[in-house]
Amino acid sequence: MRDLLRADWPRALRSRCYRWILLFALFLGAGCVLICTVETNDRRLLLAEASNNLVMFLSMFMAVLSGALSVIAIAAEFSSGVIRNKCIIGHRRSHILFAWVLIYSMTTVLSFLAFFSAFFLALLCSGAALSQASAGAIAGNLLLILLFMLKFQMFSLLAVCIYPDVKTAVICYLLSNASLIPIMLASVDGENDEAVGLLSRFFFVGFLNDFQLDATTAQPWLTALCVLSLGAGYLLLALAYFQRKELK
Amino acid sequence: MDYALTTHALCKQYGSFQALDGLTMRVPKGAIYGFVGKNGVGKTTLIRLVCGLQRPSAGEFFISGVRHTDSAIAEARKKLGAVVESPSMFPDLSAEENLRYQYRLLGLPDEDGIPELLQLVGLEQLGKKQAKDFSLGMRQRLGLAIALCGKRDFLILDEPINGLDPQGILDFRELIQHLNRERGITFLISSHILDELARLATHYGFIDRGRTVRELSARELEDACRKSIRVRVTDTAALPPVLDGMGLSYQITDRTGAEIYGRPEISALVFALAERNCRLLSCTEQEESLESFFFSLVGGGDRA
Repeated sequence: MRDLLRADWPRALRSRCYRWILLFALFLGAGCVLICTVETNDRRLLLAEASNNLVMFLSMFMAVLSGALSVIAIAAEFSSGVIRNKCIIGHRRSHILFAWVLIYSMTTVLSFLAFFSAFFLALLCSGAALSQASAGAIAGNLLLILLFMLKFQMFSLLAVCIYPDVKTAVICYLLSNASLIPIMLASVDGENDEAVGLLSRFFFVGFLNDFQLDATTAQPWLTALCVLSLGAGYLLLALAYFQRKELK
Repeated sequence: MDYALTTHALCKQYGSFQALDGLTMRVPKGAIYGFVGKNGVGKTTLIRLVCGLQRPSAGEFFISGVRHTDSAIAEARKKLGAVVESPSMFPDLSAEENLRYQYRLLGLPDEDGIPELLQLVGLEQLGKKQAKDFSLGMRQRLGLAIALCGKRDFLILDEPINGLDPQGILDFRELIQHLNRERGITFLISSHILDELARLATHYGFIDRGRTVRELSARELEDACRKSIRVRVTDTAALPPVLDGMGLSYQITDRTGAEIYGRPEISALVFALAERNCRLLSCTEQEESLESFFFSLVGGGDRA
């Protein structure tokens, strides 16, 4: 697997799409704060204002975008036939898949870091009262957001293992994500419904309704567990599909 | 004899379609093995199975003696290179970058061999030109270079000369012969262009409906397709003593005709027959081509 990482990691980093996404993450992170500075004059309230569900929405957008990048990059291996070269020289399919998991998880982590670095740097530059914030709550929430973003990566892997054609995979991936919107709407209407509450912990869109970056989230471990189990489920399905796939 | 590839009763089924139906073949090490068959008889399916892109429904195959289900098959595949259908490469990378990627996939520590490989396939002067801008011939050559990365001793080429111009075919043939002769690389080449295959192959495997119809060496094929003189005479009874006396092999085909293998001296034959009151009526040279031999094996008028 080391050889797979050695070959694919530089290629992922050198990808023009990926560089654009990193730039976009920086722009979005800073832009999120900029919008809030326009809306509020009180710098003490800036952190609270910027930490509402706008940052969640934009980070979700970043997650979808990072997932789409993985879909495009991996589907390109199928369409160009490079995947054949990997199999012919004896790389196991499970190793190929896990190399993708590692590489595109790392690119997601880098996008996440770019987005939130720009976000916090913009807050600092805007004079927001960061010292009043609970570092523990923010760190916990950031970790949850990162888990959600990684879960999108696992879903993108599943999409590309089922639909190796670039266009089909991207469209299916985006449509599947759009189909989560009803869960978000249901979680708005049924905030007190336990089942909807539990369901919303699995999906970013449900989670962001009642979210504040600088406030402790209720039962964060349950949310983390839900997200991790769903991500693992996607990964296992992707592995099952990929192992059985008849390559041309 | 050592074999680079052996298959035994290999089967592959796609739904109700039986693509391979108990195919058994042996590719000797150091051979250029021409794999001949009509469209859809299972040539590419076999190549996909051997390359690990698909799994057989039944049967087994061995690469350099390692069974396809053994854990050591991954190591055996490291000596195998292949171009299946179309050459596999990243279109947005240059030839050198594609080779560098393949070197890394193979875990090769240094990339010093890349310039030599580019020179070998005649792509050394392309610079940063991306693979998507290559001609078909250049893509084929890059595909071969990718398949050659590392120390490969067995290359599988699926229709490698499809779409190449005459000069490209000539270059490709010379390259394969050079690699076979100088580096001892075994080749398994599937091709529809039988005349071209006849100039390259040292061994042949003829396949029809998912089964091997016949395997033979180039020498055996030459014997099977050997030149003959077809003669018509007034009395075939006079032929055996005359031809035996001349040390020629022959076959009496009917009451007035015979096939003589080899090159008899015609005037001596005429005199010898005349001494036995037999006249030579006609004499024509016959040669069976690989193409006609193929059709005699698999039947039908469809093209290979």
